[in-house]
Amino acid sequence: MKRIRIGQWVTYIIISVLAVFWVTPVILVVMNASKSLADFSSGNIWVFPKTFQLGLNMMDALRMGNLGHGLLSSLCYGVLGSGIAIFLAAMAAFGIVILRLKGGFYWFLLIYSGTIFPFQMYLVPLFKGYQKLGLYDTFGGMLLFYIAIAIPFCVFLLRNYMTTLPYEIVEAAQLDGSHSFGIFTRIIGPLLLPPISVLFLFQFTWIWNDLVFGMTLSRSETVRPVMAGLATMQGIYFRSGITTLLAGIVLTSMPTILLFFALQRNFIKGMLLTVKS
Amino acid sequence: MTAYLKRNGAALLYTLPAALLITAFFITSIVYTIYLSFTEYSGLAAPKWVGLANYVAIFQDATYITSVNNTLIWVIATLVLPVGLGLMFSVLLQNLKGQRLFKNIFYLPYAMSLTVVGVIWVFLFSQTGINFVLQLFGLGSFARDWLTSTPDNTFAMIVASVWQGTGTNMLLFLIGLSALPKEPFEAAAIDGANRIRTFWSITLPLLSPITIVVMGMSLVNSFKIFDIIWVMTMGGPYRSSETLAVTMYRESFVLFHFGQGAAISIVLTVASIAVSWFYLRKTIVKEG
Repeated sequence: MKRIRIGQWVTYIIISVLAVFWVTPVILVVMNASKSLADFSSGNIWVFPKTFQLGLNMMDALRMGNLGHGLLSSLCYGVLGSGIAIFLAAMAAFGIVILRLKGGFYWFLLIYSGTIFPFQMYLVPLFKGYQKLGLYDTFGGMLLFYIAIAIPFCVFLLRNYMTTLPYEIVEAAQLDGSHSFGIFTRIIGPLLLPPISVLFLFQFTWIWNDLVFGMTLSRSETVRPVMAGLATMQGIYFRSGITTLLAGIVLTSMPTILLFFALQRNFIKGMLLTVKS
Repeated sequence: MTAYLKRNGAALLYTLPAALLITAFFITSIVYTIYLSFTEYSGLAAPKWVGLANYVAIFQDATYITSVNNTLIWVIATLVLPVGLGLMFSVLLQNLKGQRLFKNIFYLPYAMSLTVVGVIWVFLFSQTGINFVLQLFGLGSFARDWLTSTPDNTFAMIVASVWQGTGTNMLLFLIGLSALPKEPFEAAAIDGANRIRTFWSITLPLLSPITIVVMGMSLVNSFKIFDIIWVMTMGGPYRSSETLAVTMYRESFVLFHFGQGAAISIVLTVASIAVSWFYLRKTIVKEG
């Protein structure tokens, strides 16, 4: 009995030391994001702030660093992109599973192949194609890309989910004379809410965090998504305005951190779904 | 063909929008990248056919060889560290009071983007950051310009990536641990096996299905590592910390060697698909 207790204490000590290591970078960022530039330059990053102006630094990041545009654009890309992608993916899965499209597995493979290749395969062709079609550096072009990139995983998950639904509901609705679109929106749609919430969380986070496609397919401050904006800002601000940069970090991380912790259950459920399959 | 359309028309109508988007964006891109990889193309004149020259260069040019080596370092490191630490955290946290708090702390970095993580660690590796602590503890001889000396810059960036990626592996292992059957552990307790013995001979073997999945996911991601490097060193100094994904980007969008960039993407694709085959087989083939 005593040995187990000692073991527990040892575990607590080890895990606490590790936890301190893990949380220190976050604390340092928040601490230094709150300093004035003079306060920052007078000490090192480990000194507790003498000034507290996190809000002011955030405003600076929004205005001078032009993160405001990026935040707004990425919010639109994230919400619209994952929303439309989920809708299109649900339609595709509905056609394959519920309407029993012949050769449906091959259609599925075609769509799913989008997740197999590294993104490097797509960068140059999309860049060239976007330039040719006038989609380069446009809001519509960015949105269209985010919709397309989100579809394969959504189809994958929704197709798996639909195969578990009892087919009798569909047969009953068909006997009642419901049209396929009615079955899709009124009968299958509501049943899909659990996987859809998971997908929305996943895809929104992915789009929000995307750096490389934002860098490649856009240039102007009004179109550029937030992470590409932050990367540009880093180059300019690291020496001259590090406290603003750090406040920008806090600001851009807030949405995903809040989402993750608010919807943690869904997230774990989603990971389980991906791992099981 | 017409018979197929007649019988499946409605179903096809639902599936086509997604399928068309994927074809237009990604299938076409893959074909075009494969073609470009055999050409020399700067974006101005038409692509010029050069056969396998771009591929040969990857294994002869010193810059690309460094890039391949760095990629291998990243792959091995991400296979060992975030997976091993994730497993360790989960075993330590299992059945521990206050698990939730610790879980959230380790998981927090994963809720941030790799871009943000990169900026955070540039800040930590700056002069008054980690170097200051080293000097404080009399380890000043270890202090250095972390991001501008090779190979330290790669190791420094791996630290950043481990900090970000361990939490999600821990979470997956915790889920795996909670699903394990209780009987073998009870039997081991009766036999008087200690914790370390129980871990090696019972927990680890029972957990292996999850371990394979976690390792597979880490493997697939490690080949494509880009964001952290681009933010922290841009592959520098003098292209010494580039991985294949970064080299591909630099060749294509900084130097406008689109053909060379394409060949690197193909090598990256072949390598990552070959190595992760066992993982993909688990997700697709069993349904065929």
